Amino acid sequence: MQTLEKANTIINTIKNNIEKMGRQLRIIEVCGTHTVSIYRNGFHTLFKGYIDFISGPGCPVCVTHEGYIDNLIELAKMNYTIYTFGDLMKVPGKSMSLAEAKSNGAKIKIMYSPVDAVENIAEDEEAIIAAVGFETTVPAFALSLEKVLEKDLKNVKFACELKTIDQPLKVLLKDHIKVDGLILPGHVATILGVDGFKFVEEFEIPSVISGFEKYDILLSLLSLTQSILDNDFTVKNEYKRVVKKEGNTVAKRYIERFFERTDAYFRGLGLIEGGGLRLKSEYSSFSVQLKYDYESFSNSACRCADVLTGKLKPFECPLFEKVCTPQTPKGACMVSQEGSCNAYFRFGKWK
Amino acid sequence: MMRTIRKEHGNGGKQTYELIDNLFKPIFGSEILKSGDDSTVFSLNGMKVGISTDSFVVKPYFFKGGDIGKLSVCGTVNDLAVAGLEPKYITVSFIIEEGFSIDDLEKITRSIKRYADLAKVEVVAGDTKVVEKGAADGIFINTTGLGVARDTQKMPSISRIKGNQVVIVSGDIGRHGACIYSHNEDLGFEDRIESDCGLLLDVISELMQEVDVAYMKDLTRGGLATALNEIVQKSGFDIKVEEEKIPVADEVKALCDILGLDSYYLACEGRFVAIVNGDEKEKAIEILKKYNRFACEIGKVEESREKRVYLSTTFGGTRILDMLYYEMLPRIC
Repeated sequence: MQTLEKANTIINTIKNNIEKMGRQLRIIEVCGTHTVSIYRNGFHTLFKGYIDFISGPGCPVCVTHEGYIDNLIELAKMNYTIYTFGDLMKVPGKSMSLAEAKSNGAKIKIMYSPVDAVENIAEDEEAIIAAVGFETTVPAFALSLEKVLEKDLKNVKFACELKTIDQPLKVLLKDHIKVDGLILPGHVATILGVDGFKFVEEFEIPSVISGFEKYDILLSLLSLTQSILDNDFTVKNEYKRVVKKEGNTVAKRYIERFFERTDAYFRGLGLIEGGGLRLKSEYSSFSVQLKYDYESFSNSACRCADVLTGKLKPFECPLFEKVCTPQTPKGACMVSQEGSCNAYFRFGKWK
Repeated sequence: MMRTIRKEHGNGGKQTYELIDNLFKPIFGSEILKSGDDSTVFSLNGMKVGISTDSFVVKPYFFKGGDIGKLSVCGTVNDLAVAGLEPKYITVSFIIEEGFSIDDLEKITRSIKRYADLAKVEVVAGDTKVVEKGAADGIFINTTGLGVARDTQKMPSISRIKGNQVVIVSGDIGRHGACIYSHNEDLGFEDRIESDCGLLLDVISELMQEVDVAYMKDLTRGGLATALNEIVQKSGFDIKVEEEKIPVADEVKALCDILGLDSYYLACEGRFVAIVNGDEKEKAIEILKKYNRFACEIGKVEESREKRVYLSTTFGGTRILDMLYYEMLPRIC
């Protein structure tokens, strides 16, 4: 009960801070897990009229484009077994998702960790690991490649579609979006550290690294509204129990050992220079060559790009809830459970 | 594009209901079927009787707190019980994959007998089919149960739901689903999460004797959220539940955190929600607590009729608690 009273005090302080500014704040949560936590815990109704939450590009599933899915399905047709995280299963390719391909007989297996996947791949199986995710997930793929090297496995390859968080965020803040503050992704910051987000200060927008529990988010909003009041652009860390200044140096070394920067196509945002990671040339024999036709991407009626850049609310998209639902997602933000449209749809923000 | 069945058509959520409503019901055309609960209650020679059928495809077949045999009796018997029926007879049909262990089949069969005896139902018919290796996954069991009304004057019915009634849950939620996930994912939770798989006959019998229950529904696939959504769809009323009050065991919460699952959607196999008038809630909760100390009021039926389930969050926000849309799958981060 005492905790709830403390929470109420924090809520009132946040509202008071915003009242002092005399207007509704636009705050972007970069990470999809934050999006879900905000909606799941009803912060969107709790701070209605005070904060307009905008969902950013930090959900790896949402920014994976259909060309990658099409590539994986083609590979499955060539008798490779595809190992993927579960939440990639629903992402629509041009004609079908991995889930649909699987129900039609394609060999697609769900993995919980790429390291486990490598442990369980049979000797007679030609396996491809779908490497998708931001810096949080990249070390796990590095570790799994290390295991492949140790075991001298010739039947395991990686389809790399890994993303970095800094470049898309820079593009977003520079060209696309006007916000009062940023909630920065706690998971990625675990790896990159507070230092990894120092670049945000150049844009002169207050920001805070936040955990994902409801109390984490409350404390982060308190910190963020205080920074906005004070015009303080220093990146704050409200996830100190996990995030260090320098990040996880071991994990960073693993990333540097196996991966290098490359351009990457973000569903909804387009091609971003240096926005991705690929295997270094000395490991290229473990990398699957993927073929993309960027021009043909994206449903023309889908307004995901506008949703990701805060220009449009999900329910303002002509496809939302009509033809685009969690069961039949047409665009990036409806695909993942951590996508903005998906969260609106499930938790009822449009109410 | 060819329409094909996907896994989510069978998860008890939105797509399962769409398949039933859009394909099965129109083709079968039965008026009784259209009223559609897990048990169908009808009059036969002046007697109120009810029938329910269910198939069980769980893997692993043996899990902490039960096995597929126990589950196949409890599932059907509980469906009858929440409809206000006293189960009398049950049929058991097996589809078995070639190569299945006869010792395991014997264990499962003994478990069926044990729980049929506890439920005081007699196994009166059955069927056995063996299919080629690869044509099934081990063993599938179907049970069909027949029951008679406990008290024809006090039959729970969706039509008896009205505004301001109280929603009570009979215990902590999500144990069965969490138990099965923990066995299948080998995360070291196997010894910690026990399924709630069990018979609800005694608790429902006592509850119905002491309290006039408007409606009951057991929580199975799709969990609490899906059951409540089914109730609002059929009754037309809204339900508002409070996050703080919904009981979830710590170990279930921990597993949900690790795998990115939502406990409101995890299957239960020994829990139900009861809807009662406000003046009866204390008596109802007192009875339910004798069987499970976590039984409690979780919310209310609202006068509004948008057919929505709302969840009040800890800090006073509100969100929609919708039906299960797709298979819950582990996420990337």
